[in-house]
Amino acid sequence: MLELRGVSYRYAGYAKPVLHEVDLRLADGEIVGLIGPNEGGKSTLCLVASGLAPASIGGQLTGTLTIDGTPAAGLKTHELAERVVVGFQNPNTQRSGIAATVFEEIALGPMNLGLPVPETVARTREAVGRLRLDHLVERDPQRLSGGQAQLVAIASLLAMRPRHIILDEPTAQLDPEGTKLVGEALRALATTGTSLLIAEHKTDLLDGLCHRVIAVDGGRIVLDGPTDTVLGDPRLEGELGVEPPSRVRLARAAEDAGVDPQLVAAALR
Amino acid sequence: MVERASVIASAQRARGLDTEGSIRARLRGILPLAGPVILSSLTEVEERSLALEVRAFGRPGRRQLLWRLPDSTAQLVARAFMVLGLAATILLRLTGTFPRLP
Amino acid sequence: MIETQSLVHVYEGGTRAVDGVTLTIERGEAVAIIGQNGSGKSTLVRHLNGLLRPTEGRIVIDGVDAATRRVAQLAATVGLAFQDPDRQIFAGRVRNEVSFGPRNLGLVEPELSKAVDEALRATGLDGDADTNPYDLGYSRRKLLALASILAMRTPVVVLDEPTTGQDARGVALVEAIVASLRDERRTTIAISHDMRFVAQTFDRVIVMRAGRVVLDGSPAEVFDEPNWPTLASTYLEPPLPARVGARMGLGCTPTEASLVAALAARSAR
Repeated sequence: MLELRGVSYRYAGYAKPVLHEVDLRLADGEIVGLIGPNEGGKSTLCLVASGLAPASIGGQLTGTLTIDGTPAAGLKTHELAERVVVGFQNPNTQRSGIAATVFEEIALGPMNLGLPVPETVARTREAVGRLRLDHLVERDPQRLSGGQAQLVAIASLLAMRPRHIILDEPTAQLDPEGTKLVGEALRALATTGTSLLIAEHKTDLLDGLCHRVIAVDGGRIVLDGPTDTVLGDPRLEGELGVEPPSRVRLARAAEDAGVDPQLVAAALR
Repeated sequence: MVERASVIASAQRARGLDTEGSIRARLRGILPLAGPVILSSLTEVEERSLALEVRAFGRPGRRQLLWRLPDSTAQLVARAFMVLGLAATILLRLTGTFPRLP
Repeated sequence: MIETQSLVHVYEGGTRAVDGVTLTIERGEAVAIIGQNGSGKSTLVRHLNGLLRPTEGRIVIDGVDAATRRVAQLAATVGLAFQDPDRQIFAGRVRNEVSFGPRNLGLVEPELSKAVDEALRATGLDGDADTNPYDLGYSRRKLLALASILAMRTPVVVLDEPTTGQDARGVALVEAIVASLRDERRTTIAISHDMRFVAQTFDRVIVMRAGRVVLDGSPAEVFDEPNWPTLASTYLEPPLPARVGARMGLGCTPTEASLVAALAARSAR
């Protein structure tokens, strides 16, 4: 379990904290969505939950982050990496640049953990299999589409066999094809037993995938509950600047026009 | 880096930066052309280093590399001879024995 | 008015990115260009301000052959907002960044400040005029890049993926900007892969595939069921309301509003 208790965080060199008194719990195997307006604290929350803030980027954290019973406070970044990993939106900056093939790229993480070669290969093969990347293993990591590169980045994280994976807007910079690829990868990740925290604007992706959804705005958690409840909350569109999933939008539009929402729901299936 | 610089130049030209005019005009373009190269590289470096940390690149200790280059005893011996030969050459040179300059 | 006449562009190395495009775009139109990566969209629009020159064919803007003008001259007519804001931001303050373009075009006080202030207001950045651009998040930097083009007051505004990475508020701002450009009889041309944004905001949709235009019409025409195989061949999906409307036999309803209106009309009968 990954737990944040009363966490406030201030970036180095900035006067004001960006997160305020955040309580968040990610149980083993749980899949949680994270929504909220831009600059509302989603990305900061991802960095803090992974321990990279402050361990890597500095800044000041008050409150506690506990990962699988261990306080994150004393841990070095590579020790954090064994427990929780985080993926970012830019597929290009997550590429190491030193691997000649996709297979080697994915293998870098387990290799860095000092694992024996057979174990590294096993974990790499497993990640490749899970995300169905077999057809890409021989390719040059520099010559992939945005969606494919993002898939390789996610596989590289999975190969480390962390207990928790955090993804900060994995589809933000992708076209619809790439988004579809990552959506499938997320569903595959959901079957691995790893707990997932996925920050996303595309609520359609979270709908049907997540057990729970959390909304963050102004550095505070404003909603935390079952997916259907949160994604159906009327505050999403207005205050939070988050587009509800298509089925919610269409149902609402139907109601507003005096049309039975069931008709629309039926057509969506 | 070259591609980045070219995109930056295109973006600034699209904003009316004259890269084909007088010397003075072109000098005025230094900051708009060089600035984004540096600034965007800095943000990128930060993102890249975070991504590397997440994959334990900072972990001390040896790695078991996927590829092991074949290294025979013969090669080991040859390398030892090369190092000794180099040391000997330097020593002889310093003591003035070899090579003799005309 | 913009006219391309059998425009061809072949890159060094032989890629025929634009393969004979003949189009007319009238003043004040709001046009979206959609298509897969590599379909030629970006190459095509870069001819509008002279960044690229035709290999064959011509492009005529308001009666003048673009080949007879330098890029800096064409910038007074066509403003092009690039996709990645970090490939152009260089000033230490938002206001200075936005005034760069108009200043290059010869705008002086008091018109200069007026143009800058208008652009800042339109993009929601008026409260941050003195902020360092890198203190803004990525999505607001994108809005900054857009503001710096708007301030140039060009009759034609070209947007490259304006909603990628934006939250719902950002998308709403961009939609409002396109609407007000139309009101001012300024031409908007946008490249986008956000089908919902495209269907809701633009009067005309041009679909490109392999350097050619394969569909050209209103959203209701382009996203109509007979065109779905063509769209699929270029890896595009019609917006959800169009699919739902077709399934329910309501004709082509590319936006939520039109779908709901069609449903209401049917149940009224």
